[in-house]
Amino acid sequence: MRSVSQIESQPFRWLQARWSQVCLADGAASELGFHRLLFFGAVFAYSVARQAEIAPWAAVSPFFWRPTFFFALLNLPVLSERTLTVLMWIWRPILCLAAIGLFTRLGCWTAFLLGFYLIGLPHNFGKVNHNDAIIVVGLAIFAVSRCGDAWSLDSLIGAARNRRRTERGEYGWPLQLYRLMITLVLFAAAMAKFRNAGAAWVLSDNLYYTMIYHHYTHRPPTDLGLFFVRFPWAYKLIAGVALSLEFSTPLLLLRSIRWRMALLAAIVGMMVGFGLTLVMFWEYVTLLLIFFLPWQELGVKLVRYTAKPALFVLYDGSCGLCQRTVAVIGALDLLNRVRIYDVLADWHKLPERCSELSQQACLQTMYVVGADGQVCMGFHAYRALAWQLPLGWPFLLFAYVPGVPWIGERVYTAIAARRHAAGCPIPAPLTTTAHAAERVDP
Amino acid sequence: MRHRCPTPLVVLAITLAVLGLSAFAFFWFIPTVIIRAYHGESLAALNALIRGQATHPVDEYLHDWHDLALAILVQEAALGMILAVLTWSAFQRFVDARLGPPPPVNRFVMSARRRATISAVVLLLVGMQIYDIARQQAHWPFSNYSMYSGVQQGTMWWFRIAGVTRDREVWLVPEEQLRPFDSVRIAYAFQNLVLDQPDAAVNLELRNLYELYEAGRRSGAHGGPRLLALRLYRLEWRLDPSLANKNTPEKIEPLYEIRVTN
Repeated sequence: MRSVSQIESQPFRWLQARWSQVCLADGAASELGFHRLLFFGAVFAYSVARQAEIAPWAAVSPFFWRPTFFFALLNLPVLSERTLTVLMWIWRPILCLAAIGLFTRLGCWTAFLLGFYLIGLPHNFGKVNHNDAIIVVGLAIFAVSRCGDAWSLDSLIGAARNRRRTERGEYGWPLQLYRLMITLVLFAAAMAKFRNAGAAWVLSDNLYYTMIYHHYTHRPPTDLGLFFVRFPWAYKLIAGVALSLEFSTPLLLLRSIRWRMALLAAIVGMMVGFGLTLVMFWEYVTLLLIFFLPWQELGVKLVRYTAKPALFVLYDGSCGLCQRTVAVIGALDLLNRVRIYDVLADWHKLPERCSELSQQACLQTMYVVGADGQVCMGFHAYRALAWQLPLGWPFLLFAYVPGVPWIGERVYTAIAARRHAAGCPIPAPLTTTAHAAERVDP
Repeated sequence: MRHRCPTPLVVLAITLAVLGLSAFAFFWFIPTVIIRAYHGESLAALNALIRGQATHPVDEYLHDWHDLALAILVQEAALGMILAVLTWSAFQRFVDARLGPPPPVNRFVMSARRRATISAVVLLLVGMQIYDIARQQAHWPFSNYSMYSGVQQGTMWWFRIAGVTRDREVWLVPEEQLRPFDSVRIAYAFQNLVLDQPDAAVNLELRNLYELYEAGRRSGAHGGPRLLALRLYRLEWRLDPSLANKNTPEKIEPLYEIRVTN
């Protein structure tokens, strides 16, 4: 029979198990490392943009000094302009080191401590801006985490030295925690609006006056806000949608990728809309994209996408013009989606989906065969190729315009008819005896 | 035979005891310390915490402490109640029925110290943010993000700095001429200063702005004219969607001026 003390200890063991299940969930070291790379890269870009804005605060009168909570608690002083400049110059390479994962733990801690001071300093003079506080929270989380165990130079050095990786449970909590903190930012904004204004935030002319107000005090990048204020239903609808989206931000933590992506697109769209009409919070939009896009799933899809070729190109290897054409196609094939076959030299190597083609026909014109067996030639072959070649994508903008395929076919036919008379040297076919037996009699 | 788990009752009992002790400390002991520190009769470190004797009476400090103490007591009570519910076996059975049993803790090879560190970080970060949301306060980098949370009306006011030259008066552009300040920070800074601080302090701040302006002018950071004086204005507008009155406010009220000698 269990003792009373054992019974009493079980509820706390249950709590401990649930807490570990939620907060110490398993995660992949590679996912954490990849996010570390992106996050510190973004913070580095932020530090470059703010390089000239920190040191001048040393010259501001102490009468403007209104310390924030932690600056007052820790009694942090305003350092001299030279010291601030030096600290900024130290902070930036530290961020680079943290991004590439060299001396990761030291780099992350130093980045956090310096970042807390340098990012926080301006907020002690008259006004607290809210665009970059979430960066400091991220720096703190990465400082405590084991984010250098993958996607880092430290991990390569560790592998070379046969060092054992850190324990399980270390790689899930940092990303979960930071995602939660990011969602709490917008949720906090929604709660503040609800508590301070209630329904009037949406139903009154609040957004109308806010959009106009910004043109008196700030410099919005566009006049889009002044367009929307002409229509009461528009700005009230925008206000309602914005407030709903802010309240919904914690749903970004849902497991379902489709719902998450739909909500993420809506929230990013809302933030961009704010930026075009009021003020842009670049930092927050960047963090949303870094931490909520399904990078792992995208990576898996990219690997699958590039693993199998999508198109086979069959060309006449005895034609100089054709040789130059396929050389360019090969150079443009950045995603490795195209396989090129010389119908003279490689006829016996053609995949099965090309079995219905005749060699004679392939010598007359270039053929493109798709993954589904669809055969294209002439202008349509180039249009099919454009889908697989990134630099060909702009061509697609007008390739489907009525009339363009007709013109394209005429141009292709004219060039193809004159290709052997174009004056370019035709190299000797590189066929062996075996291949020569397969050549079609002219 | 089912054993009734007394843990929630124990937790509630501990919570009540803590509340009692806290109430004693918060409403008898600490006010005494505050009064002594206000008069400089306490420990030096505590005396140094209270510096506003010239402008703030002791009742103001005691009132602020009373509000804070009540908030802390409410939070202690809430935490105790939450912990009591979490340790209640019926609640745990309810959760297990929906989520399945929790995995055993020992599947994580992390040390107990490491688990405790991570748990503390999680509780600190999430707790601080939720605290600020609940209390509508800001403790940078945590905040309730209250910008744009009010209802904007059809009129607005703003603070701007003007420079006086030999023959004219020009609005200064803070982003170019008063760096590191920008127009928004200038307006908010003086909004607080004009309300809270004596005239002499505001004049000193204007003088500091002039020094920033002059340093930028001499270093070539901006091409502004040499100034004879600096003026702080409060402007009022009736918001117009056509922005027709953007450069002609309904009201321009001069507040402060400093004269400089070059």
